[in-house]
Amino acid sequence: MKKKLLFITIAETLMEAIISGELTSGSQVDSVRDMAVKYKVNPKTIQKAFEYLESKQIFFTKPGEGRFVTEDETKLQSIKAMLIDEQIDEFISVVSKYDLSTDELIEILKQKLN
Amino acid sequence: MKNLLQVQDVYQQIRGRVILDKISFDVASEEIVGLFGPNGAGKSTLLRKIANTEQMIGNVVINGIPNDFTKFRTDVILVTGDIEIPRLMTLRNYCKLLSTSFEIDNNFVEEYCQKLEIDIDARLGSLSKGNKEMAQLIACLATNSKLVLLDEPFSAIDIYKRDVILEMIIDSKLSGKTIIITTHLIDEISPILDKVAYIHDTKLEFYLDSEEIQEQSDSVASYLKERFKGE
Repeated sequence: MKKKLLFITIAETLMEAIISGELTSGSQVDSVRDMAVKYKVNPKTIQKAFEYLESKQIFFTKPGEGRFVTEDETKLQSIKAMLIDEQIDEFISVVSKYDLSTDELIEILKQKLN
Repeated sequence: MKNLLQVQDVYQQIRGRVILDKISFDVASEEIVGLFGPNGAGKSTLLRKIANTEQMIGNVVINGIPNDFTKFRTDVILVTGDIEIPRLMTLRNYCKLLSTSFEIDNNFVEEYCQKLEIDIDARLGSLSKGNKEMAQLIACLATNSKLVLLDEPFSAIDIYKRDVILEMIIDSKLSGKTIIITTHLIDEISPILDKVAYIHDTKLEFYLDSEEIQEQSDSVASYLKERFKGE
């Protein structure tokens, strides 16, 4: 099985930062150098994460000004949906070990959430 | 990308025992290479050969120019914890001394002295082991040497300062340096590496893109454990 590459992990961390508001929509993104220092990874990895986010139109470049976070509300919603989807999948793979029925699981969740 | 360093068939034996057995690899410009291997595998010996401080069989070409043991070259610098630093000098004097052969980036020296809390005017001999190592790292990374060889740069440095050392290495890469680093702190250094070289039993076992390793394993450390278990 192929493992998740580091640049994808970084890209996901940045998407989480957008959703949590740590990176505000429309704001300028830190430089490759500053991000590399912050996350202690190779600048090439940051560059790839940026390119990945640009390909998904989550980041965009203004010529001569730098890189910014999208302000497109539907994009932001889709990031949120994607992250939730991924984390639910992870959750399911963890709880599937305990041999719970769907009803039992929903019951536990309901109690926890109340 | 252009190769800054070519290592060709480097061979060394001491008293009939082979230390390095025909090691060959190239390093592209502005890359960070992790050189790993068990204790006594020959990592430090290889770095001394690349740094032109030890004579052995095989060729090392830096920037297109082959190493010549009789010549002093300023495009490669070796940083090791064992090296005798001038104990009577301060870091400021030491940088001045280095500036007779190298160009020194004084802004870099000041920035990292501050970040690492090193007194630039303290006598080097009065510093703790970790601070001596850091002072030496600052001075050597501040030179205009294109190729910097770091032999166990973290050994006496506490975990809070290690992050700053990583920052220094990242900045050095971004300013155009090529770096080869040996360390036992594989987990900490791996995310900043472009390539991973592994020396085992006198031979270069593999030389891979760090991404290639990530595709196969959770971390470089677990890849090495997986690959060499039982040895």
